[in-house]
Amino acid sequence: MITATGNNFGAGEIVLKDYQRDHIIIFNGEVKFEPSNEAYRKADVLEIYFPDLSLNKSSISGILMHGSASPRPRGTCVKTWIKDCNTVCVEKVTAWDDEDEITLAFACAYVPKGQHQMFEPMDWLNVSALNTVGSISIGQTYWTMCDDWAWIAITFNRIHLQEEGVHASFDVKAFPDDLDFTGTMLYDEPMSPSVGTEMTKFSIKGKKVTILDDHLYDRYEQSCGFVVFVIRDKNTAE
Amino acid sequence: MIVKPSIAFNDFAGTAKDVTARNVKGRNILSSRAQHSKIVTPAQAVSRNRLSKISRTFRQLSDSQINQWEVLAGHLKGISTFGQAASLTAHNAFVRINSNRAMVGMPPLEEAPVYIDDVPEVLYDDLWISPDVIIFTGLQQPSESHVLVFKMSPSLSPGVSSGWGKTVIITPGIAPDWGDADLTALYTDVMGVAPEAGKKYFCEFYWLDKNTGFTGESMAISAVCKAGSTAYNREYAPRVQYTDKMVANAENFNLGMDLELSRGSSIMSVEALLNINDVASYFDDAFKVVPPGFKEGYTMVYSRSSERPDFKPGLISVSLEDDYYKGPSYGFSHRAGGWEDKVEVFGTGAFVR
Repeated sequence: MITATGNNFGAGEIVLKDYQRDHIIIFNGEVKFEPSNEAYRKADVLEIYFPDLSLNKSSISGILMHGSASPRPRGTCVKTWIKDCNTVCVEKVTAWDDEDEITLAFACAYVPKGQHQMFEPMDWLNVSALNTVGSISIGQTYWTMCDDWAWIAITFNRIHLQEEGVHASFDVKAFPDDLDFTGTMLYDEPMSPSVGTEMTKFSIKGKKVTILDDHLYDRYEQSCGFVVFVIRDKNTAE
Repeated sequence: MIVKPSIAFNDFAGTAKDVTARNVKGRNILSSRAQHSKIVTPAQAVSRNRLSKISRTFRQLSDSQINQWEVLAGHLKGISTFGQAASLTAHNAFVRINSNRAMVGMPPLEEAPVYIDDVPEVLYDDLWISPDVIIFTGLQQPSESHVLVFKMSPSLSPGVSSGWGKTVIITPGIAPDWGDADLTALYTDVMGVAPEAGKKYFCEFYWLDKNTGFTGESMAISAVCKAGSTAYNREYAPRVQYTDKMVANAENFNLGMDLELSRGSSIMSVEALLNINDVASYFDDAFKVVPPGFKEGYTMVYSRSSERPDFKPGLISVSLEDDYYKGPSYGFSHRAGGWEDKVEVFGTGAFVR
């Protein structure tokens, strides 16, 4: 875990789960703040300050942000990058400034550019859903992992719950047991014009993926999904 | 200059026609008078004009400003800020700092910059001087305001032991691009020819802080032009990067693209702007030429509608495939979330296959 030394948008204390090496930084976790605060209003770019990050510059990465509307918040994806070895920047999008709270959902990797070495793609691993709760049709999936992290991208053609009081879920047999992650996924938005799309939480606990949406009963969600870097929690699993 | 004992000029110091004689430590030194060329190149004219203009500006400074420059000159005395120990006057310091800044297009400073730290020496992973490429990789740029000044000699015989006096400025200040400083085109622009295999080249380089005009320790390296790198004799591997400049883009779907593998990993950084008008939410397109380091694979990142205040987010897969008909190609396919014709695509994802 890493604790920020400060920020320029009135977010209070920021603590994120981190993985840092020479060529990569991964953050998992959420940052919440009230957009009505004066510091946020004055900021052009949201900055979070850390002591001595392992990178002093990164390419553009992406995270999801959403407001606090109930029952489902709406949001979008925003750009984020490392400006120097003490500063993580997040693009400011003001479309949800009228809501009580904004959440930034970090599940991204920061990397530098400039690969000159010969490289090999990582192994594209298979996702097949087992022990499904609800009617779930999985669309395009990519996922891979190394010793310290997993990268998981799953889209859904359809999620439908016919039973009340449960969450849609499924198991992925090949997932390692040491994944313990809660993130944000995006839904589709068939209506236009509209601002952003609806979003919900999901979790990956070991091999089980759970869509943490209490309002999924009797609804058909289509063309939704997530892409996340997840820090493996090997010590916890052992 | 010639050095030899002379009967004619023994114990004699003075000038006769174009020859000057002086006695140094018991030896007579004869030197011919320097003959300045009447021809001034445009570059020389610009340089001389710039220096005289800077010098004239010094006379317009206030007393307090001159005092600042005196303080700075005193501080610079004996340190390696200019690559060698030097004793400077306020005027010297003013001209040097501002001529450094002028080289990179910065206006003259009237007030002396505050001296805080030495400019670091140039740290890098490797340097290639080959007939095809002159490039630093892994340059550690101290800050955004630091640019690399690079001087290099023309081709010399491999037996030459010192060609430092023949170096000329190839670039007065290049900012590294993710650690790379590609000097290939700059060298051929200045010299008119590419480096020649088997010839020897002398290079000097240092960081220049554009804001303050301070320069770092000048580093020097001589190397024989060859395919292998100067540090580790490694073969040059081009950067694994795919841009919109490499694609056919017949339908103008691709308004800008930069796909690049990150250093030290197989994670791809994606930035693109797409305009997929009147077609399905995907397209693919061929590369005009096979990009260096091309490998097939896939990743997935975010997309976002460019409409405002729409901001519809989505997920988009990015593919690199060696298509049977098209050859090496790339593609974008919308997979989830919202979608509009014009979208920004950005993020990082593992490159898998």
